Amino acid sequence: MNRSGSAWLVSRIALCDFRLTWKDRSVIIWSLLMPFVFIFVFGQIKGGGSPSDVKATLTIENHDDGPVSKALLASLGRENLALVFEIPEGGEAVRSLVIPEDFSEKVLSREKTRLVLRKDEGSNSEAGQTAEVAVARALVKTVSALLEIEGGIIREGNGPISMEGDSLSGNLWITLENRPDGAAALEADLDSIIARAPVITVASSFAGKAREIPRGYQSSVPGNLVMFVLMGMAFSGIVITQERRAGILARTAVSPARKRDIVAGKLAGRMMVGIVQILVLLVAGRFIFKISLGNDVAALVILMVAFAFCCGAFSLVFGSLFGNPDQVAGFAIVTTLVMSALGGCWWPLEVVPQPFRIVAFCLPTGWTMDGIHKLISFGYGLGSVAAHILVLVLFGAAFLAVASARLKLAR
Amino acid sequence: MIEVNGLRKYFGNVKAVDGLSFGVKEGEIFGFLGPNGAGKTTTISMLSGLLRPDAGTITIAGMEMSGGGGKARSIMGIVPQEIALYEELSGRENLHFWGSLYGLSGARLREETDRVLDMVELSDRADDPVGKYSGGMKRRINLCAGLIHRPQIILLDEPTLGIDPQARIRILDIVRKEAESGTTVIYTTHYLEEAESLCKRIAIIDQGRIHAEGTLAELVKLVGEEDIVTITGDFRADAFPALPEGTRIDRIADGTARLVVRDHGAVGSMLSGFFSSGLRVDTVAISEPNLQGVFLKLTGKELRD
Ligand SMILES: Nc1ncnc2c1ncn2[C@@H]1O[C@H](COP(=O)(O)OP(=O)(O)OP(=O)(O)O)[C@@H](O)[C@H]1O
Ligand SMILES: [Mg+2]
Repeated sequence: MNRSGSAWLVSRIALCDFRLTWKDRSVIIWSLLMPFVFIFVFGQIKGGGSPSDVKATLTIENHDDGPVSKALLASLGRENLALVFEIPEGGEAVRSLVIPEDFSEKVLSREKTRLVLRKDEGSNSEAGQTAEVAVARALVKTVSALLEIEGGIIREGNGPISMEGDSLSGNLWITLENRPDGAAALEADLDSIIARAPVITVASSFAGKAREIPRGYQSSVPGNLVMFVLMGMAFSGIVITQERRAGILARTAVSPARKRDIVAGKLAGRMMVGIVQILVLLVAGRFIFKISLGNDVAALVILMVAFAFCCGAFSLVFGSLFGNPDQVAGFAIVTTLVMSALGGCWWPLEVVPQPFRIVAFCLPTGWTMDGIHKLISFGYGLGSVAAHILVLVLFGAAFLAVASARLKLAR
Repeated sequence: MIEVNGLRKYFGNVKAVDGLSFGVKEGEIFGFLGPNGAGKTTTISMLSGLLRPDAGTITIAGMEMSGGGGKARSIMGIVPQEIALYEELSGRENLHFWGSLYGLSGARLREETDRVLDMVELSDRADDPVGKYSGGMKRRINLCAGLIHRPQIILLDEPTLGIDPQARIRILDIVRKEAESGTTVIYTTHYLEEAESLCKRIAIIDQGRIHAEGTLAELVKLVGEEDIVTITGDFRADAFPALPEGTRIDRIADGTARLVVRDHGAVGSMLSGFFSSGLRVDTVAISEPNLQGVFLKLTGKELRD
């Protein structure tokens, strides 16, 4: 490396900053140990474990004793649900599936019918979504079993169903009406199809709206990671005010390092600290808290570097707008907490009302949280977080511009 | 080596530096002598490129400082008045950092660090954190940090502030040696003796202006060949004996008088005037022309430690 070039100077300043940071024991406590405590506590409060551990209860109100409802219940039984068939005395179902009286008849004669999934207003919306997904899946299974049976009848010929040109004629209900053992035969057929291992596994993760909301550690690890990295960075703005007061910035400024080298060095030093913090928390998340890091770890790394850049620049803003360490500390704590809360670090953005979602996407924390969950909780790849990365870089660039313009080096 | 012309810096109404012009030759120790608030630090800050002058030009080794210094900064070593060191790092780590900013690395950096630590006799404490050093020790490391890269020009801003006499003599020695090896030095101080004993040329600065500039001998000539005689004893200010010709009163109070005497011989006849009036004399001190006198005459102020 050219030992008088910018890269050299920036690396010296960054390394010095990096080393100094870890000399302060409170940094280790606040940036590495406290997050563990918070991750554990928040993770426990929010359900602990991974999302698939959750069993939503579903009360069944079945008014139909036909073969289709039996098949539907059989496939629901294979879902990860706790089915309840009797509402306890004086109790009330939080979530129930109502199967109408003529359900089997309507389905078999290919007429419209309606299943009702009732959800109590105050019920856990995540469980509600889980139940919804399960019901949909069971329905798909049941209907495809019926189609398979119909297909068999058509192939055999002479059945109650046949193909006439492009259209089907007849329906299974006729069979049940005409043959006394018809219902039992159909039930047996349906049972065997549903019980059989699926030829094609219907993808069990649902894209888009029907996704499960991250909970437990899957939610508390990224939430606290974002909050504590941001907090650590904001507080490190204090160091800049102290270095200005001590004349260290001035001394650096009269060395061959120019202001832009100093800004870049301070930024790089902070990014290094942030990246170490992120790495520790992600590795701990993966191996101690057993969270998923998604399918695209490289994308996660890029997103996290963009986040570290944004936070590092944020730190410089604090160091350049304020001359007094106490001011920095005060503003740092307030902005960090507000940005964490609104950005979805404390509770998932999926459960907040729309206006708050909009606010979240005005903040780097909101973009970071959304991006992390896209990758680690919903299994998307780099393409889905490209916008997030760009936005974080733009936030960082804006912070950097403010900091460079306002940073005073002289005492 | 250093050329300064019409340098000016105002802070609001405060004329911190108000039209300074001077030049320093290679290998010369140039002293800035002035009281608190004279504008010494402000001048150093502009020379080092930290502050932008309101007006005037600075040329260092043929390079204009107006564009922020650029290359000139790498040949300068600055020792700021306030101790600017990382308290959490050891003396050695500090020197490694400051040295590296001037392009030193590896074995060369370690050697230069050892050299300057040895120079200020702090090798044995080099690995303690600076925060645990005494004030004088910090000041010595502060000095080292400005010398580690063997600069061609050193700007020292009151480097001996709050240091014990022995360490002070050591620091003055170091500065002298640097100059002997060809380094150009600007040295600010408000200690007369330091300026007298160290500097080849001295500028007397007050309220942002240079009141006089030259070698010690040249400056002393400004106050003439007169000696100062200070007499203490039992006399009253309003009943002072008549003075011989060529003698005048500079200051007088009951029991103490400060007289300016053109010729040593007059002291004798003055004292006999006291005795013949029956006045008691306790002490008589004669001081030859010095910087103190020059300073007093030029600025109307007395420098105190
Ligand atoms: N950043 C500043 N803002 C406002 N005024 C300043 C600033 N720096 C210096 N001054 C003023 O400029 C004048 C000269 O200050 P300077 O620090 O240059 O004096 P000095 O000769 O170094 O004094 P000392 O011996 O006390 O260090 C003082 O009146 C001081 O108050
Ligand atoms: Mg000063």
